[in-house]
Amino acid sequence: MAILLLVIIVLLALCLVAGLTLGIMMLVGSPSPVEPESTPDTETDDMSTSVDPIDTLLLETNDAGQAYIDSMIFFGESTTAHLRARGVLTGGTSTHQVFCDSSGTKSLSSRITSESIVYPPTGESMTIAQACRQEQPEYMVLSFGLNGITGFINDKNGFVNNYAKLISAIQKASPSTRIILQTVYPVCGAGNYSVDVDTLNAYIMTLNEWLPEIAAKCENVRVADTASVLRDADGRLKAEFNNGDGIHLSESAYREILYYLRTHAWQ
Amino acid sequence: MLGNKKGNDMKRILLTALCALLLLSLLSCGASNYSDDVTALAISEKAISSLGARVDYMTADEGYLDDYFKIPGYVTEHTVFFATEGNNIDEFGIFHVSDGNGKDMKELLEDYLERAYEKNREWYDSYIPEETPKLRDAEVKIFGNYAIYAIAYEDDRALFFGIVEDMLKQK
Repeated sequence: MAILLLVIIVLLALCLVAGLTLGIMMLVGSPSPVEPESTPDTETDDMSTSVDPIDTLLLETNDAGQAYIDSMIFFGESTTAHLRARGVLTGGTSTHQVFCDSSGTKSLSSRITSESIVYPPTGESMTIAQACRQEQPEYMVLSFGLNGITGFINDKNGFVNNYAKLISAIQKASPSTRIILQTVYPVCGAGNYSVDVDTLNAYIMTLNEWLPEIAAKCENVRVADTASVLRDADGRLKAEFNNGDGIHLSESAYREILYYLRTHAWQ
Repeated sequence: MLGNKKGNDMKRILLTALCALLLLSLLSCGASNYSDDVTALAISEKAISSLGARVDYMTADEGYLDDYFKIPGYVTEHTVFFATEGNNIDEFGIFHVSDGNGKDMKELLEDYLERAYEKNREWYDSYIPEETPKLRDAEVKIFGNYAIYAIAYEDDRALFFGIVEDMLKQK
């Protein structure tokens, strides 16, 4: 009986020590605080070069011709994917100049460099960096901002950093590629957005002001204000350029956009 | 004799009390039913091979979740994988944390899922409305020192969590 008591006491003591140790660890171990969501006042990640943002805007030039457009790869949201559907590029609806995925749209986010697109020449799924490594485009025309805009408007830091992340990934894969950021196109309807059309267009103008800042902080990046040819006096998408839903574009809109690029060439 | 009887009674009472205390202390040690030595990578590989019969998945790069949070210091290892098709938002995450931080990681992930839903539902509803419920109904579970989340239809979530639990259960 005494030996049994002794064994029980020893086991009890060991378990109490273990339990106390665990309890102390749980009390003193504290998790790292959650990083607050970034705000417009937060400093953006430091990027190299210090060019005046105004100097990144592509100014009017002579018409650079169809060959200039043929040297471009386009990557962006649904309004970019529709370049293929509208058949306005060389190759028409079979063009290899538009990078997109099976959903036909994209949103700029921290995962943009992880997500895949379908590489047109082969039909393979790959990341944008992998596609650029294979393609080595002379020009890469990017168009982001409308998808997720009600979040971006309160998170300039996130928008700028994610665009910079995408640019960096493209440039690492294809160092000589010149990158053109298109201004976000206006809308004449609010669709599923939680704000009205004029607020949406005001958000769009704000994001467009950020693009030269992004370009100024990167090497080999310029801004093309293609949205300017689509806008009416009230800042809305001109009716003749709308395909009916207030957001997406008609064939004539794309022809205007491509002509703007040709006459504001980066050469 | 009476004294011996009283002595034996005392011993029995003492023995019973000590056994009860022993039992309580064993319970208080908080022994987990789950392993702590399975890598997040191994879990993701097993899950992908089971889930990937119909869908291709790829592993996310560093910074995938930067829009929502920085990985806390108590995360010892993590992996996120997602469907490669643009019109499929399936996404699964496995976070291995140090002792005692499972609950905090769960809250962090729940916050991420809620904010991701609010941030993305407008344009999801415009282009891929059948996918939005996956994010709305996304779940987070804890298995010992592993916090796991799943953005998928209910069947796939259940399959994924089942795979994780089977891998982590103490044999």
